[in-house]
Amino acid sequence: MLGYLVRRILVLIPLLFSLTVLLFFYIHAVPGDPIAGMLGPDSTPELIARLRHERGLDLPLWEQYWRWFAGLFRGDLGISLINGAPVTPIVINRIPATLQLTLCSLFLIVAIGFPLGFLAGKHQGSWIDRILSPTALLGLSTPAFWLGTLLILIFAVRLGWFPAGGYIPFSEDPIESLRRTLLPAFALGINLSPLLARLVRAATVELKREPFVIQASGRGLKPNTITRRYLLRNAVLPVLVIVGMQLGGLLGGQVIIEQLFSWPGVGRLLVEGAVQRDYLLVQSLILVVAVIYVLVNLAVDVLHASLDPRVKL
Amino acid sequence: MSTAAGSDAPLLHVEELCVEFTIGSHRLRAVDDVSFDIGRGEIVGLVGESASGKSTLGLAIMRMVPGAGRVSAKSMKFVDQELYDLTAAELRHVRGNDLALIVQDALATMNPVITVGEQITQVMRDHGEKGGRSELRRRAVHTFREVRLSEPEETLGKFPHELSGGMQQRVAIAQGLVLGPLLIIADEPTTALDVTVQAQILALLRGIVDDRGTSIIFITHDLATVAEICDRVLVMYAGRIVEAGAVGDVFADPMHPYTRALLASLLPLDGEPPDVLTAIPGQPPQPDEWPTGCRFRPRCPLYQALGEPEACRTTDPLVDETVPHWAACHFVDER
Repeated sequence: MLGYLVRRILVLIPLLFSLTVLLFFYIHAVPGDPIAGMLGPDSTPELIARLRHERGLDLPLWEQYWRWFAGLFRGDLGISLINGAPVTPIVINRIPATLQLTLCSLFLIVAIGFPLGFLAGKHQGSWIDRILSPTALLGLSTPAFWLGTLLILIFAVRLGWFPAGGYIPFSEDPIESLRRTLLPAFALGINLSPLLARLVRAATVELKREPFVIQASGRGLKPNTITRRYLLRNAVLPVLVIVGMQLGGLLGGQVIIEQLFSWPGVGRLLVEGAVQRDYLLVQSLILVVAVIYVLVNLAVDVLHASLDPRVKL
Repeated sequence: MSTAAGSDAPLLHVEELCVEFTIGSHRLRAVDDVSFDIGRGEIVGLVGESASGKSTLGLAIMRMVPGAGRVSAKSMKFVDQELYDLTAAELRHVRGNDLALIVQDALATMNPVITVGEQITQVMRDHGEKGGRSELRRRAVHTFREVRLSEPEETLGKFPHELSGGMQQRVAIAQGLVLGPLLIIADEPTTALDVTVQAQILALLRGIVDDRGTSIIFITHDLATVAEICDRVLVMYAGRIVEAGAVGDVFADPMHPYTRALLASLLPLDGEPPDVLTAIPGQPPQPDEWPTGCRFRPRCPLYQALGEPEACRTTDPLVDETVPHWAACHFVDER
């Protein structure tokens, strides 16, 4: 297990390195100049040149890359091209909000999708099974931004049960913090719940036909035992696969949802940075998202191995 | 079961059992009007080719015929209860306690994510066996030892996929055996194993019968295995039993042309192997196209030799199933 972790983390090094190269040149290929954009149409070419020089934008691209890359090892992501503030603390400040939204969303996806899918699969053809499929289609085809707006309209504006947005750190007021996370997390994850439910349903239907489940009743095991230790226990495994696979979509979806719910996370800052061509900020934020992605995936794989003895790490 | 009937009453009495599958508009009789008895402490071989209905017959006794199948029987009496009259709770009690099923692919019948030790203690717990965790584990180890697992304590903590094929089958047998069933239905339990392990498992099953007085229905396509461990044999062909008798009688004097053909296709154990292997021409019929009259007729050498008599085409052979050795053939005396 420890060896596995070390190996997995070693693999991350070339992966993340390639990612920094890709990110850097990709973002610089986007047309538009950050300084010219910041100063507006009234600035003089001299002023633009001076600021470009101050920010190091007149250096060759490879040297700009090298400065940023070398800085990563010192935990220095550079300074913002727009306001000259160090990027590192800005980015770090945004991580808790994003992480909280991601995890709450994941929790909601599983809490809604898994029981529905399992019950539908276990009681094939029952009412719950019959309504799952159309509901799933509805959920899958509902865009997150539209649902988010609708949720705000109903639960925040009309009913006033939840605030329309804003984030309070968990450490400050856990209950209020979670209350505020609920709507954005729901809007973000609701598309994935039906997807999960369908997959869990399919897995459960499949399990019921497995010889070991049939034989369990042939050995006279209690129906309750068969449900818990034979069906449920094995239906959990595909959930992990889905979570690992859909995490990317979840992180990407935050760009819109954070905007909608005034959520001070990585996604919203990313939009601001991209609009202003703040190269260093955008590079660093995407890198952070990528690191979160690979780390959560690693955690999912480790969890999978601990639940399924056939998976060797 | 505590209420044992008279000791000379059969353990299992099957009368006019039919299993019918409806697939689309087709109705297939996989098992067609089969009757037999199983006595206490005997191993009865149930021999036949693929699609002869032998496995379905085993499942019918377990009441495990899949959903699409319909089982009907005049009587399916196990000890003193009609199996098909049992409630779900009674059936659950009988399964595991009195009836056990062992199949070919032992690995597939075990929960992949739970240790084999937990699985066998679960069987005991779900049947209300008294005793704490350590007591149940002790009994599991005892049963593992009985099926000759070399390291019973270590095996408890293993997952099914960590065991060899032979060990998997021993563990599966132990799971069936742990509550001391009266009847074990063993469906090709040794087919997937290599020959030496096969011999060990057969010896093990024979030992269980001799020590405990358990009965076994041994389902197989392999006559050599039948000769090795069975007391009696039922030969199945196309959903019916075509010959029944003590193993010695059937092997020495096969009455049905099908049984003779099966025996002829065996390799001799001693002497030179033949230049050409004897095989039964043609394929066994499928359940939706049973031939009329005698079902073996299209492949029967005797039918050809006798000039295709009409009786074979038109009527089912009648048999007297009360004699110890019988065959369902119009021309038993022509052999």
